[in-house]
Amino acid sequence: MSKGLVNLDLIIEGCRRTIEELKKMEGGDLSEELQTLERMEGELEGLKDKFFMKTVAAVPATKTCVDEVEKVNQALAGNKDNPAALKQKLNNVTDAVEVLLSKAQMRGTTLT
Amino acid sequence: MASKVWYAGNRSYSPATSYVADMLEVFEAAELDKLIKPNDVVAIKLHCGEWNNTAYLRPVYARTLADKIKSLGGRPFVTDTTTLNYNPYPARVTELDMRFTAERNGYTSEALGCPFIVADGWMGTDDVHIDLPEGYILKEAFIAKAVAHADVLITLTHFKGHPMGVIGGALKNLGIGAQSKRGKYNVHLGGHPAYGMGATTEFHPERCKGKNECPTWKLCRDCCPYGLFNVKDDTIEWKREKCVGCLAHLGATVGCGVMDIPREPLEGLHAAIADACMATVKAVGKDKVGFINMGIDVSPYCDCVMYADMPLVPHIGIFASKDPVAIDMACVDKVTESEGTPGSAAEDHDVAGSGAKKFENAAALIHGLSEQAQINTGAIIGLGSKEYELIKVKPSATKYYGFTEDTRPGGARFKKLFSKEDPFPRDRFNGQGFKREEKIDFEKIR
Repeated sequence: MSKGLVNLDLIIEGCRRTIEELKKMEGGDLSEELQTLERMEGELEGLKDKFFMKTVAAVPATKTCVDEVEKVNQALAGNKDNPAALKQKLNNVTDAVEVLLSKAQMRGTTLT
Repeated sequence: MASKVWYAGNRSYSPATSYVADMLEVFEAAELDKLIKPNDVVAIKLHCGEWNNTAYLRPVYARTLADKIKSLGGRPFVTDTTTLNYNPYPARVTELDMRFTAERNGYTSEALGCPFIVADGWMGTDDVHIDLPEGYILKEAFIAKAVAHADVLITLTHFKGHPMGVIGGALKNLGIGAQSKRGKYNVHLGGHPAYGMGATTEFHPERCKGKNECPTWKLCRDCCPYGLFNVKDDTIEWKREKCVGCLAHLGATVGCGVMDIPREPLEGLHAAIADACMATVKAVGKDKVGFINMGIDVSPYCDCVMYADMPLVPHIGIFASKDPVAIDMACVDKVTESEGTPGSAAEDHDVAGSGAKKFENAAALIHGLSEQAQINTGAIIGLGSKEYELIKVKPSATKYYGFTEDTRPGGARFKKLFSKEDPFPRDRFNGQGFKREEKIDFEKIR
């Protein structure tokens, strides 16, 4: 399995954990972030059969996502972040996933 | 036996160590000047750069080389070839398009001091057939006629990475770049029953959202010059048996998952590149071909993409040899030895350290491609040697690398002119010329 696909599995698994933890949380008003993550989880599943995930270019994009999801889950596990700090970490995840989804479309790809 | 590769350093600190001077120094050290006899027609084969690519070689290198060749009595021309479609919006498929792109990139006859010639003509079918029984996969090749008919060929290569080829060096400059359009179909294994794109691509029409849902379906309909795609309401049809492997469709169909490229056509391409380079050398004559690799702006992707990323490594230097295998091997080794550029794709892929293989980890399209497959094939078929002796060329202490139109010192050149019209206004402010403060406080601006 390519490194991109290995990372993709880690991202999806991490997002699921994040979603579960967010659902358990009370207060903080993170419902919007939760909805975004749930939508993205579906989109990430859709990447599994894309050629991009076999490419070398998928590695840094997926690695960034793995790192950002891990930071959120560590914060949730430690329950140390205030809502604003947690919100920022969640935004970093969604930003990273957006970049991955965009790159995976391989717009303008030249193969020579 | 080890081949000789001459090498000039990667730092410039004087006119004699400019990359232009380095190129001339290695050109002479490798005795490429001795290949050229008076009245020889000399092809300078380079990559003129794709539309909006910015890492391709500046025209000054080709201009300088052309001037040098003229000083040796040769008749130089700078040349490149038309391409396959390669992506949905190609910019060098015909001579007409190629000229627009080349001129936009500065490759004009005026800039070069000699003609810029599209070596395979208007359509890319102007070529010479070469039998290649010794080829690893190719048994024939089609060499662009202007290259094949040249008396001498100087291969001026921008050394960099490449998504499909993994490296873009001397082997690829000739193995792809000196092939006519039909030669490129051959090298890309178009129509090959085992390794061609038509035969090997995994096609998933069930993933196509069709006209009903896909906002870019028209691109799939219109990307193929042979019209092999038919987009329906909820799926897509492809006459794959007729695919010639121009690769235009991949830019439209891989992103959504309708197509998936396996490794085999890419690895087959690597072997074919070395074979086609061999055919080019055979066409011109083994003792009539020289190679210069400019290891500058070592971008991860080739000059054939419409952008150029930050270099994987800082400049590695300027190389020359008569052996295309050895010179590419030397450049790959130099890149491996180098530290990666901070913030570059080498860092993204955790291969920025010295000793890490930069190209196959950070430039290759897919995992598992070797950055030495072209080189290994070249060695196997007898095109050259992977063993090399790297010989450092010292900067010249005596040669003049200044302005060549008038080599006298400035005082001697302009004394008469300035006596006719003094550009300094001595008649103003008692000879001081300009209105300025007499003294200022430097402390304030330090």
